[in-house]
Amino acid sequence: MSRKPITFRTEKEMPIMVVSSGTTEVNKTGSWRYLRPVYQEKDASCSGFCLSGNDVREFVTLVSKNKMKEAWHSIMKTNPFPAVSGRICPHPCKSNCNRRAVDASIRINDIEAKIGDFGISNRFTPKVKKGKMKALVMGSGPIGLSCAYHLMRLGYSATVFESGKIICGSLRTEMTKHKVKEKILDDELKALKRAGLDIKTNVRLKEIDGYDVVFVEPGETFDKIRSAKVIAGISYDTHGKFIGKNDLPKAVLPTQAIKAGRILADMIDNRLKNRRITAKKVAIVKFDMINKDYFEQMGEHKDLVKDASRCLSCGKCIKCDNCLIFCPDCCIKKTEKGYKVDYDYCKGCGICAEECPRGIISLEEEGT
Amino acid sequence: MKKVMMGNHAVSYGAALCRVQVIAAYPITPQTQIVEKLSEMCGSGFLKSNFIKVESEHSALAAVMGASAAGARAFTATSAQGLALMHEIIHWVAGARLPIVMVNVNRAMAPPWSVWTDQNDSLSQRDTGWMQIYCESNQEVIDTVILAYKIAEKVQMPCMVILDAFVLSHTSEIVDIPKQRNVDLYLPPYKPKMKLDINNPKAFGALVTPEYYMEFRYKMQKAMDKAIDVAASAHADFAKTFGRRYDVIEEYMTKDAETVIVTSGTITSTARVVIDELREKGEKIGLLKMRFFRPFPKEAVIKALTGKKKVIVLDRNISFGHHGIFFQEIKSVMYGKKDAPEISGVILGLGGRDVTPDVIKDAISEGKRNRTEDIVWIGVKK
Amino acid sequence: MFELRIHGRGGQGAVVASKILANAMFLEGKYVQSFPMFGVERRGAPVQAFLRADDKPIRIRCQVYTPNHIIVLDPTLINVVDVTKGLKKSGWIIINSSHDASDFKFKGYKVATIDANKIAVSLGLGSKTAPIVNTAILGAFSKITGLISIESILKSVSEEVPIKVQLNKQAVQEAYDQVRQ
Repeated sequence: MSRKPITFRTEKEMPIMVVSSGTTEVNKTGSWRYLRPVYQEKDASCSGFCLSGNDVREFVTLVSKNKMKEAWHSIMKTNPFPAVSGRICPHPCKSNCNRRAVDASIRINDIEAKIGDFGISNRFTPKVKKGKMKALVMGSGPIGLSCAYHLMRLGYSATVFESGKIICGSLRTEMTKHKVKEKILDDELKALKRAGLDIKTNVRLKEIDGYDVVFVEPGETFDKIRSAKVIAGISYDTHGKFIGKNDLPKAVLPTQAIKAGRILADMIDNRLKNRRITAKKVAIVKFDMINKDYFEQMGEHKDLVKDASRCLSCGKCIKCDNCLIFCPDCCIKKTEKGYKVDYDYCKGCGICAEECPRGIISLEEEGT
Repeated sequence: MKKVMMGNHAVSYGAALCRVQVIAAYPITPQTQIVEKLSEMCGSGFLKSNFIKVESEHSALAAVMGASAAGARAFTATSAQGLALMHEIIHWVAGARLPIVMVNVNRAMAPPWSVWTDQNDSLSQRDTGWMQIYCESNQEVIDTVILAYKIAEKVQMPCMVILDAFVLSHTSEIVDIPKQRNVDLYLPPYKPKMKLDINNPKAFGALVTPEYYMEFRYKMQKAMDKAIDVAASAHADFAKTFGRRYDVIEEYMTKDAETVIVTSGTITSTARVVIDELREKGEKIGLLKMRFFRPFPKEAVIKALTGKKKVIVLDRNISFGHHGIFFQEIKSVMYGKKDAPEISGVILGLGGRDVTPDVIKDAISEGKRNRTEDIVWIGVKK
Repeated sequence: MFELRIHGRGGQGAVVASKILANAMFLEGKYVQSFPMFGVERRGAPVQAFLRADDKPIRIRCQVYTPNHIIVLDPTLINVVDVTKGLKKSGWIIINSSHDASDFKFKGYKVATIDANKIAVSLGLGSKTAPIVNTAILGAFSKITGLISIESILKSVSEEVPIKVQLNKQAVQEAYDQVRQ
């Protein structure tokens, strides 16, 4: 740090009040720091606990702005059966919703069902990619249907063969348990069919040929598979083109199965394209990272759009400027990408982390 | 324009005429009407000022200090317990060389709880570096607020304008309100060279080692010394602009006086009547009014009292363990001077005990009788 | 210089009366000083207000101990407070009462009465239980003492009274006409 030491020979040379002689910017107080604030968006608690792996925060936020169509497309990125799921899922998203630290959880399951119903009544069609690859799914359980749908989103044309008479068996049983009308599922299936999903019942195949990827649900039988580049669901020989039964993602509940189907579609696609992609571990905002002081208590709302507006947007910056306003050293700047901490001056007081209402700024030990 | 108004409103009008830009104050009897009137004026648009609501006097002066540091002409008012609560910030404001004007309504310190007048509250702050001016009439109050800004902004030291609780604050009398355009001519906008400025950022008030601290304090003392001269020209300009003459002290019938009584605040006003009466009876007695207490008008006091036989200082205050405060300071200033008078002091009027002409006459006779260091308390039930 | 003391109960307008009168005196070119009893008051408690007026500047600044005249806004105070304390010999005692002046026994002083309550209630000033009698009493004061003209009081009422100006002026006039010695 090059600066001349200040000396005065007489009082006459001195200013009347003690004032810095130049800019204080030469004093890089960042060196004092032993805790470092890190601005990093995180997953919301709801999304973290979602059995289907939905971006719950995203669709709740869209509903709060009454953007129902966008909310439908958002949830369709991960779960093609929102109307059903909202009614049968045990909704750990809602049980773990951080809003409960303020007043009450957001009625996420009801919101999900509302989105699904909106999609049904408006006869929306999900967005899929057109491609040359052909996919076959044998079995129409929730894993299979979900896998087929997500392969369509990845650019495959998908066909589902069901050996029995009824499609999505376990989903229907779960719905009966929860007294949900079967028509809801059938309406959501219609949307998938509009997008190009081909479903055939009472099909028993001995040989399979002409498909680039094949997924065989546990319980289905076949004799021979030809010309497929990737085969999933068989524990034959796990080298190369096979994704064995033991490698399939685990699922117990239907909404878990929907996630499993998506993961499987990704695994198949990665195997075909010879890619290795490891899932990134994203941190989740827990309710002790929320600053309750910034939210007004109001309780659940009958109107779901208004209820959705109680969403804290955990982990997603909404540019509230708290960190910038409260930083005592004025070393947080606003940029298009979010907020930037000037580590040259940040002393690590932690006020920004404390005052971020939605847990985006966290303190880490300096040097880790 | 002449209007009948109470002392507190005279303060409000004074501050409004000075176009104060930031006001922060906390209500306390007997100051509340000052702030009420100012907030009314802000509300009606008569005064374009930022009124900051605060939760205590400590915050009030802190807010005003921040505003002044950023270059605004800032104002506050308080009394007794409120003034005491501000104490650490009072020190800061002076050290930071901020020309804030604060009106203090002299009220007795508790306990016992009292809302009536005496001077202990303001005198407890005498060592902080604030100028102190004591007023005897509502006219003087409105004029002194304007003078205070003029002097304070020139020497960059804060100034306290002081008036007695109830006897001035709540008493209505005729006040000639100066014209706004004359005040604007007399008191131009406040434009400090150094201030908090985001376009020219500086840090103020940093740590100073023993190597330089004394020099900063020395400069404060020099500013106080300069204030006496600045006051002289400010008073002269004031007389030219508004037609009323003020000085750091006032001598009433002292020219050929053998005895001089020294007073401050409203006691001065009643004392004038006593002086007239005694003069009619043939006594060679005069009155010295202490208007400025800080900076202490040394030269003027020495000039007024040299050659007098007896000086009796009337203190509406007491420094426990020693004497009345004006008495101590007058004595110290006259120490060792050629032809210095014999000086004695009396304590009267504490906690709003009424100071009538008879009480003053009593004080004079007691003061004359007392030739020692004893402090005499007038009117105490013994 | 003359000194006046006004006796009332908190809320009756004793302090405002002293302010209106002070302003009226000022309008006639007098120097004035008016102040309330210094202290903390509450509604209904006995209060006092004071006024000094002179042709030259008033320098005395202490309490009023020997008023020339007194005004009593509430006659029940007579048994509670020594209203004539310090009152100068042959000073006027102006009382708000429906009784005759002769019903009050004040030796050595002159008494005048005015039913200011009746006037106030008839004009809708205040309520039946708490009429605002301060403007009416000033009309009586003007007539009895002759120290201030009614015109000045009326002008002062226009300047100082925030509401029901016309009615208050009427109260002044009626009391002026009706006050009895």
